[in-house]
Amino acid sequence: MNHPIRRRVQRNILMPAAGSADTRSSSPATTHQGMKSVTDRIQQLKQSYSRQLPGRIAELEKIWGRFTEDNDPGGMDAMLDLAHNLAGSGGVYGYPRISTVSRDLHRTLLRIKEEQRAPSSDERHHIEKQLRELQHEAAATPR
Amino acid sequence: MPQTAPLNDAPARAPQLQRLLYVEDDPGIQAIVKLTLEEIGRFTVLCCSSGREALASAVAFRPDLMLLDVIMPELDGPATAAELRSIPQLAATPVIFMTARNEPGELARLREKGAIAVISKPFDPITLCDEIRDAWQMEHSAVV
Repeated sequence: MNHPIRRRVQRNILMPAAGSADTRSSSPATTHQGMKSVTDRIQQLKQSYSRQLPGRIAELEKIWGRFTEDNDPGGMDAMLDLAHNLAGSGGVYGYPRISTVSRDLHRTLLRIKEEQRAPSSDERHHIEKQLRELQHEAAATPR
Repeated sequence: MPQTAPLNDAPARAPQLQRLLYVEDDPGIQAIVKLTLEEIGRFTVLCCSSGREALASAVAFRPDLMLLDVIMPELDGPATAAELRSIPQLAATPVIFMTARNEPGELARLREKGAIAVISKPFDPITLCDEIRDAWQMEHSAVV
């Protein structure tokens, strides 16, 4: 990725400027090897997230199923928590579409909760479409 | 005759940012942020999973800066920040919020609560430390 900020960060990590306040050369991330170790560990976290993602989406679908069948009042809060977590974490771990769709889902659920009503038929269809998209995205390779 | 301090034309430097209190309830996010803060930013980091946990540990840790998730159960980020900053030793400690609700109105609301910056989720873990340092530098150049 050639984003200018990232280029600047990588330059600072690999070659700290002489005399800068941040020239602790003994630190692991100041060397090429150290940076590789960090990116390897980030990669491991990403792989772990990828393994867990389908289960989290399945959990979301299960809660939605219970909510629509039994009008389980705790279901709405549980869905809001899960959608919020996915919105925050998806893009960090290479799934930007998971973040976008989950944020939209969170917004829809929050509106329903704040208005203290059952979801309309259109909202149900919309939420179910979002859940299918999340399931599809969770099976994709992270970017 | 009183001694006067020598004139110094050099730009004032912000104090070094070393100790970060980080509060996040999502373990998946906490793991990657802790890794990048420690290994890329080389900060000393205290991770807490709730506002209550932060309140119990913050004074002893003496953070230079507090990085708080916004939506957390029981005590959310702004409420945690308010309680932390009501402690005299932490009253002047800058706060940065991290939020997945990144609508402009929400970001403005968080800035009004005294945050020096608001970082939107998702963020790039590689550039996160730069965002934090930039906010820290801006805050201290504004003070000077």
